Amino acid sequence: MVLKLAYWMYEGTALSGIARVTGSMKKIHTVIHGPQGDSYINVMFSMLERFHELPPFTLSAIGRREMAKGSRARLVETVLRVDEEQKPDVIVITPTCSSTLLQEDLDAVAHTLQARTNATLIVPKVNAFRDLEHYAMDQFLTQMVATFAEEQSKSERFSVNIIGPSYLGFHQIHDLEEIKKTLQDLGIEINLVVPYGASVEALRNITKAHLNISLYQEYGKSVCDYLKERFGMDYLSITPLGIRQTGRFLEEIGEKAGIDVHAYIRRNLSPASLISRCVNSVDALSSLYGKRAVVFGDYSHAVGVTYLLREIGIQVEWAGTYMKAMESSFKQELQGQAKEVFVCDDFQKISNKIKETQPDIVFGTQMERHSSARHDFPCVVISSPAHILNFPLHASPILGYSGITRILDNINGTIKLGLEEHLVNMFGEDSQEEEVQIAIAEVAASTEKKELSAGASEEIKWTPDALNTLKQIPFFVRGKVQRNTETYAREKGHKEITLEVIYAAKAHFEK
Amino acid sequence: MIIANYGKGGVGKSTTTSNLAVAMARLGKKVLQIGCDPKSDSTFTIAGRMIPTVVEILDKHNYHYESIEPEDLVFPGYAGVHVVETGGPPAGSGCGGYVVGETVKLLENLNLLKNYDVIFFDVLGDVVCGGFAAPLQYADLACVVSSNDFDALFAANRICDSVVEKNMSGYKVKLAGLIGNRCDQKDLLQTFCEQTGAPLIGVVPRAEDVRQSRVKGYTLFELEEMGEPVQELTAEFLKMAKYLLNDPPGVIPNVIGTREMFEIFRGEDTGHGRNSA
Repeated sequence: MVLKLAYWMYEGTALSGIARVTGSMKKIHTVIHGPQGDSYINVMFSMLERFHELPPFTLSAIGRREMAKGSRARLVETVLRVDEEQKPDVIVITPTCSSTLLQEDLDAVAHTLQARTNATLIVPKVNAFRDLEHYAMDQFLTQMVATFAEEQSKSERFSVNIIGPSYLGFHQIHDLEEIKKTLQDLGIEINLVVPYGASVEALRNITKAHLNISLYQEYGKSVCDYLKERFGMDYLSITPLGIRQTGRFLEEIGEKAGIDVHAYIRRNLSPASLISRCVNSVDALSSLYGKRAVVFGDYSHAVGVTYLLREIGIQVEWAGTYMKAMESSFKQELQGQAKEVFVCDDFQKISNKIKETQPDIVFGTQMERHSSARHDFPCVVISSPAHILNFPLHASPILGYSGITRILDNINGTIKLGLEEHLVNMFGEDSQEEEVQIAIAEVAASTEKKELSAGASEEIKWTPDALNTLKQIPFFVRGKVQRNTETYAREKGHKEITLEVIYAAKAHFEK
Repeated sequence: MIIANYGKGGVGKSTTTSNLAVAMARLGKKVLQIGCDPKSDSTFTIAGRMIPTVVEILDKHNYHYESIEPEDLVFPGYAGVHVVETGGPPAGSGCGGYVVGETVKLLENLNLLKNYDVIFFDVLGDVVCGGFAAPLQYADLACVVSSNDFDALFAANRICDSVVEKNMSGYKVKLAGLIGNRCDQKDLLQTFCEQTGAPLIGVVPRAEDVRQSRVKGYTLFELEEMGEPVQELTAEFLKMAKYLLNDPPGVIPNVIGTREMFEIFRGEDTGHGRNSA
């Protein structure tokens, strides 16, 4: 029996989004108002993130009694207990799919309870049933900032707020370290990072900064818009991924801060820099230039990586994102950068598309890594949904100049390099001996089956001679040769593949 | 001004709401009537047909909320009154309360509640769950439609309770009062209003014309235009419309205890009481 994954989401739920914000902040306690299973978000934190203390979550469970008698009493009791025992600055009462289905009026509960708690009670203005992770983050971050931001005088030196880095984001904490280092090198102060590590007190001082910098395009811009409208704060929303975007990012900051950043950019891109040496080496020229890649991920990473690949001479066959709400700006942004630009949130379609395209390398989410493994293509993971290996212990940013070198290392470690390609050509097949034996056995078995039920399947037979020749072909192109030969044979109406058919197919494709 | 109309099932909420909506339009107001009932027949008399519901329109857009414009959901009807039907799941399945509650919030998100002088919510029956209470979160005033009998007043009392509850939770909604419908007499209504402190906004007598108009898909005002002798009825609706447009302060009612309800009305309800003698 084969189990088929019928439904799977690239983006998390609204609850994941809210929890990423609250979990990233200090002295914020999250009360999840839902049934037992809705506290799964704690598990994600404990499995993936590498901190000493888990963010404080408490489940106010909706059980049988609450369904029958209303869940208000339970929620009131939970909030009062959390307030007394944990003494947080803020208690966020999160709606869940269940509380939304029950149409529970959490605002009303918070309103009546506020007089009895020391903590500020906040109910995210998010529809837990309908909204998705990034939209919820965008809305809720704005709500938090709007609740606490106060008019303050500007800091003496030019300072910025970094908006974006949060727990469970894709390499975001590493990105933050890289951006911090960059700004430090430029002599720019950081006033506040939101939400990572921010407290209520810090949010009150958010307006001390001269500029807001939103690092990711999926969320954070609403916060900037709010602060601009309410407090007249200037902002900048660029994801510094790749050579050009990082340069643009630095130049714009330099312009706003009145600092000349060109020396810094030159230092990082000079002929002696790591990036230049990597991109201009003979090996890179022969192994990267003209290779065919496909890109899929969230908005920021799919866009940024596409730029970067173009910059190092890799051809992008197609670039896609699952951020359906951002379809038009995605297409506009990448127009002309890839042969095809699209939006899709069906992982099966992406998997099939990879198989059809037969790229040299895939850049995708953990789901594309699985799909690529199945079709035997090398894959670099560049976006959430992520796995434990995307929460590495060593410094591994995606953004900024260090991000570029890290991605280049990653590509070199994944793609078949020039010399390696030749070596595998000469000596490669032995290590795959076992695999070939299995393949032969499978073909033999299916041939037998076919004889029993003639004409039931469309699979094409390989003669033992032909199979032996197939086995001689290096493993990393074997699949491709097999598929091409079978397609050719079908087109020409051959019932089985003999040595002659192989050679004819070879001649045909070499033309 | 946002007004939410509640009342026991079958008491004539939709008919009353539609006539009030048209009366206000006649008085020069821009009016929107939102039917909050999975049966989606609230606005039949104004539109003259069953209009597509929000649920149906969402379905057509594959539930892409962001691609929906307010104009997609609103239909013009008689006397320039605009109408919306929330819709809901088929009878006997799904959760009507969820759909109504969510749809009301969607209409608010779409800024639809901002462009009118008066908005009526015509809500299914009693406040039976969180979903059907959602209109109270946006309303300035609540009206209860009731006939002159115990069962309708019993439901009215529960609705009063919801208004009190919403006020305790920080919402501004006040009870504008009761509207008597299908009343040959009004003694029980008056008793109830005295006890709860709710004003009696108006009383519409039991009349075959009213029932007929509903089935035919006309408001009384349209019937009047067609030459039917319903001036007395339309006059009553115009009177009530003026009262409501005058921005009455409304009350937070004194809710009557369930046991007390039985004691007060014991034997008084000649229509239903066993010991009416």
